[in-house]
This record gives sequence, structure tokens and C-alpha cells, in this order.
Amino acid sequence: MNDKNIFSEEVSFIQHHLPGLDAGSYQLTIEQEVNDNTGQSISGSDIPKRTYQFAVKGDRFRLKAPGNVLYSVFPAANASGEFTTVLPHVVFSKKTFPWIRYPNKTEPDFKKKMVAGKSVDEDIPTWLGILLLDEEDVANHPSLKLSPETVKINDLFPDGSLGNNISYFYQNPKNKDLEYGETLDDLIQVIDIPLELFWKIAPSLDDLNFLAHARQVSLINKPSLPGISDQGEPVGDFSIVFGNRFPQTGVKSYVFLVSLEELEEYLPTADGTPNASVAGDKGKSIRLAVLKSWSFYSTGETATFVDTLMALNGQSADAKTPPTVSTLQVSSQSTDPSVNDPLKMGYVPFNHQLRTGESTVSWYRGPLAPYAIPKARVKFPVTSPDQATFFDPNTGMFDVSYSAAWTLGRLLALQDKAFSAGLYKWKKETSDHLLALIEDSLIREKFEDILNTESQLESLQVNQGSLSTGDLYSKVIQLVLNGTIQKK
Amino acid sequence: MISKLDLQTNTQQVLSDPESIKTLLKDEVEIIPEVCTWLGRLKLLHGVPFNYLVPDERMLPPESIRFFYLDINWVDALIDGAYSIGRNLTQNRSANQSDRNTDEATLEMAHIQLSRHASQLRAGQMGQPDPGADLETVTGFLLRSRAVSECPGIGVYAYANLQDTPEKNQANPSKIKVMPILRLERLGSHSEVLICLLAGDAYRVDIHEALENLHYGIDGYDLTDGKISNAKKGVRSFTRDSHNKVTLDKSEMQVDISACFRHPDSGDGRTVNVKKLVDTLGGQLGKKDFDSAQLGFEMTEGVGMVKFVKE
Repeated sequence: MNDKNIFSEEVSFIQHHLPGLDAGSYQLTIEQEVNDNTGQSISGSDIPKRTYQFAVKGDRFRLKAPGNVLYSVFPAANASGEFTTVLPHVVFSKKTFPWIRYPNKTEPDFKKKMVAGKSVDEDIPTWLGILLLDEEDVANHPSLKLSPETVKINDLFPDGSLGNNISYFYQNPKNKDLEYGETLDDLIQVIDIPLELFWKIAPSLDDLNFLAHARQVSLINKPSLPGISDQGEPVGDFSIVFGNRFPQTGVKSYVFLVSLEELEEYLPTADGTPNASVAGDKGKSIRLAVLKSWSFYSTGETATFVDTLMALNGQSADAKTPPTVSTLQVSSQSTDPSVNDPLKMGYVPFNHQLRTGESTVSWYRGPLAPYAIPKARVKFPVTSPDQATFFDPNTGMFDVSYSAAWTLGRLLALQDKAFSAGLYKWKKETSDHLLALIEDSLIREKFEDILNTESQLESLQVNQGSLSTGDLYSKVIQLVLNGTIQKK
Repeated sequence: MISKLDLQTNTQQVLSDPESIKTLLKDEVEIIPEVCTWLGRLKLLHGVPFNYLVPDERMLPPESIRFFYLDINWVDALIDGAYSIGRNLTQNRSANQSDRNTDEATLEMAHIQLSRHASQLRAGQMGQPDPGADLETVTGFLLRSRAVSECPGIGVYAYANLQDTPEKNQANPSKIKVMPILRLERLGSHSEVLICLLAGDAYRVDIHEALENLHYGIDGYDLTDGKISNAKKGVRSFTRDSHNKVTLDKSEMQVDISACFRHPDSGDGRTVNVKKLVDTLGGQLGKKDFDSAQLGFEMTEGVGMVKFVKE
């Protein structure tokens, strides 16, 4: 274990990635004004305006395609281990995701927040919150349920099941101001949290400034990630949002990734007390859209990434001896070397139905062998898979590894029509090309002296170098017909 | 004159011997790109069913790592099987073997092109230069663990021998040589099995946590009656150069952050007052513009890494 040797890999911590346009509806108006040389407008109102409506779509109350946005969560779902000193987090593969909306009451002017010449930008709060709840909270607030409930978007309004409680549209509940692509019947997941509890545990607006950041990392030594590491770039951008509450030992913790969009007024102050303007709502609950929820268990025993890897191959964490098996092989209890040796070499016995109708048992080993295999055990191409089958006269058993591989290759190729057609076409072209070359070489051989006679070819305005075989052939035939060429 | 018979005899003669076909074709065969891509991927075992790789489940039990040498003969058999489409399959020596002979003449050239393609497949997806691997010796591992599904971005560094490792080259980091990765991916999008193919014979493989997934943590705290005390976090001072590259100080300083939690009278004792935490850490480090990114690397715990060395 060592944490200081990751020399070539660096991680960039980035304060935020703001989107070019926040999610929402926009209107674009184009006007034209023509002025004379004194600057007086002469176009009047005659030139028509054009107005365009467009919307920037972004997830709001649910993740439409979680796989494209959500990258990983920590602690992992259903994990158990020592998590009392860590804050839960969610990583997103979209770098702007934590900032596509805002928790502020009205849209903040992001442009004003970019201060030129300052070493860092102003802090921008994220619209996402990670709330950690457990059974103790339920004991104190019996109305709390620890699993999200599925409702319709309409239930975020007082005339839905929300009733008297609070949700996103508290500023103007009459105006059902949905975004492009949303309907009141869309199903979403929500959690109702008593405001008294929410104020104690939810982040303040100032806290939200610091609970998200972005990271840029190298992808060179990572598993291929569809949509991330096939973009022609060796680095990838991720964003990350943290929770603000530590889990307890010995209880199950439930984590909810919720939207805090425009809830500024209901967010608590720094010490967990409500804003004076909304303190009167104390008895009510707040309904929050849940974008992701999971749970984990903090046991007090360490279960880090390193612990998991150290325990591989059945090793105990403090083991000093290497594991007995670290290659692909089936262990055996047999004492018979004719069984044991092949098993150690990575072979597996399989029932084998012979072409002649008999059945036997044959050895198979995949491409991932326990030791280095010298090249050229078989010479390819073969005319049939039988040519790649080995027979061991001592045991009377076949080794069908390579014939199985050959047959698999053939089946995979036949399965893919585009490939098999492409391969066949290319082979045909190669073969035609080969026949043309044979003909060409024959002609060159037989009529060597003529082809070398520059004058004769010149008289026919033939340039030997640029002739294709077909041309060459027709020219020669022409020469023969003309009587220029006599048989040797 | 050339008679038809001449041509037939000549053709038969050439086609009966792969060497003469090769001489005539003069290595000028260029495989069309679609075919080359497909076979190049096959060379890295893309599309090979899992039970052909691991024929018995007991070979790769849950929570295990298995190292291997890629059997190049097996791969050659696989490629030849795919390449055999349109070939006349008969063992009869007297029969027309021209398909087979043409295949033999072109297969060698094809393999060179396929290897080149397979070698740059992964690098090309990330806009990197071809590592130029010949694919003659390929080693790797299969990792089956919950770490694979929980941490999709784990890092893999492999070294061909002790001299290439960071430990041996602390004075001269430019001499550290990491083996090129030919393929590193999960076998299936939700799978907990990861396959890694390395160009060369690996001596040591280091697996470390994903940097994008590093979590926030503190060193410890006491919790009594819902109030946190004795909360400690080790932080490191840092300097920033003109390229905004940050270097962390070697010495860690312990900061008491017990006051950076909400008071149980008004809030919840386990809930962090993040703004106060930022001010406290920023104050200790003497940084005025302490932002979310700086909080990010101060709060992050170290990168966990495990080394696997070949005995």
C-alpha cells in the first residue's frame, strides 16, 4: 500500500463548470434598425421582428437517463464498513450537472460573479443536496418515511397530494410553470421531510457553495468507459456533490440525492435554524424530488477499496504468504497426475460428442493460460478444425482448445453479416488481382522482347509503366493482329 | 502466342504454392478497414463469449484476481476461423487447395496489419499515439470483485520489471516505464468482472482507487449526546505555480474542527457547518480565497493502492 507513487497521474480540482445556458425556456428576438448618416432611425417599425422560442432541457425532478449522468456513489449501495468519518457523495459524468440549476430564489447573475483578475471565481451554489437520514430521525419524527414515494409532478402542487405542505412551487403555486417536455402526469420520486428536521440537517445556501466541485482526471490507465474514454481525449471531466452529515455507527443510513432548486428561503441558516420569514411553517413538511437514493451500513470495521483488494483470492488482510492459486485453474483433490497436471495447466475436461457418434471426454483451455505458451504449436491456416486438435496417446484424450477457438472464430464471423460479406468481397478482389498478376507475368514473359522494344510501343503510344494488365493484353493482341508480332 | 492452356498451367502452378503467391503479391495486400477493425478487435478477444475465456466458474470465484498469459496460438486459431469464410474445407490433398494457399499467403500480412490495429485501438479512442505493441507477448488479469462495480474508474499501472517501477526511479522519474494497456474494460456494463490485457510480460500490477471518486473524510471524532468533540482533520499547506499546478506540503498539520459542526441545540450535531469549515481550514492555511476546489483536495483522503507482484 502506498499513496504517493501515482507519479504520472494528476487530478485537477476545479471549482465549478458553469453551463453556457441554464436549463429552461428561452426566447430569442431578432430586430433590425437602419440609421441614416446622422444616426436617425429611418427604418421605423416597418422591418418585421423575428422571435424564436427554444428550451435547454435538463433533468429536473428525476434523472431521465441515469446511466448517462450518474457515474458512481459513495459509500456504495448496500455496502457495510467503517463510514463514520466520511461524507457520502455522488459523482456525475456530466461536468456541468451540479450547476445547471440553482437553489437561489431567483436566477443569480452568473456573469457578475465572474470577476476578472481574481484568482478564483465567486462561489456558485449547487442545486443538488445529499441528505443522510437514519432510524433515529424516524424515532424523533414519526411521519418521516425512509423510502422515496412515487407520485406525479402534479403532486408538487397544493391541489395534488402535497396539500398544505411545502414544495418547489411555493412562490407561485397557481402558475403550473413546467418546463418544455414535462407534463403534470410524469412520475417522479419524492420524499417528505418534516421542516423541523430538514432545517437541522440540510445545508445552508452558503454551504452549497462548497459542496460541489469538478475533477479532471487522466483516462489512460482506467477501464474503458463508454461515452467518456472513447471521445478522443486522454482526460475526462467529472463533477462531484457531497453530503454534509456524518453517518452513525451500527445503524443503516439512507442517502437521498435531492433537488433544492429555488428553495433558498426554506434552506436553514448556518447553525441549522430556519429563516425568520418561514419559521411559521414549522409543523409542515417539505416535499423534495429524489434523483437517486441508496443505503449503506456503517459497522465500524474498515472496508475500504484497499481492504477489498487485499482480501482477494481468499486472503486475510494480514496474510504474509502469497495465495495458492492466482491463475485460471480448477483445483482438484485427485492424486492422479494425468488429471492433476492438465488441471494445473488450466485445462478443463468437457464431454465431447465425436463426429462418429461416440462420446468421450476432452480437454479444453481458453486463451488465458496460467503460463507462457510458445508460439507456433499449430500452423495456420488449417483446412478443418480437426487439424488443430491434439491427441495425447498416454491418456487417450483430445485437446480441443484450438479447434474450439477456430470454430468459434468462424461462427462469430458468420454471425456478423456485414463482416462476412466484407471479408468475402475483399478475398474475391484479392483473388482476382492475383489472377490478373499471373496473366500479366505470363504476357511479360512470353513477349518480353516486344515489350522491351520501345519503338514499337511508342508507335502505338504505349507507355509500359502505366499499362494495366487489361490494356497491355489488348495492345498486344492488336500488335499480333497487325502482324507486327510473329510467334517466337 | 499464349494459349489458354499456358495460362491454366501457369495459374495452377502459382496457386499450388503459397510462397509463389506471396512473391507475386509482394506484401502489397491491404485489408479493407472494416475487416481490419473487426479482426483487430477479435485479436483482443472482443466478442468472445465469457465461458470460452473462463470455461469453469470455479476458476474465477467471487472476490478473486487471476493473472494469465494470452495463448497466442488460441488467438491465431480464432482469427483463422474467422478468416476461413469462403475457404474450401477439405483435407483431400489432391483437391483444389487454391483458397487455402491464397489464405496462407495473405494471412501473415493480415496478422501484421491486425496487430497494428489492435495495438492502437485503445490509445486511438483517447487520441493517443500507437504504443507500437507487437502482440507477441500479452499478459493480463481478470478481476472479479465488488470493487469493480462500486468503483468503475479504478486505475491500473503495470510494470514489466523492477527497474521500471517508481520505487527504483525516485531520483529520475522519467525512467519510470508503465506498460501500455491494450484492453481494460468491464465484461458487461453492470458486471463485476474486469479484463485487462497488457503489451508485454507484466512483473507488477498496481491497482488504485479512482481519483474522481476520492471521498471526503476526517481523521476522527467523539460523539456524545449528539455533540461532536475532538474532531480532527490533517491538512497540508500548498503552493501554486504559474501554471496553477498545486504542490502539497509534505508535513501535515492537525486542525481541530470540532467547532465546525452544528450545535445540537439548534441543529444536528453530525451535520457539518461547511462555511465555517471552509473558514477554519482557510484560516489555518492562510488562504483567503478558499473555494470548493481547494476544500476538495484538503478534505480528500489519500489514494488507496494495492500492488500485485509476480513471484
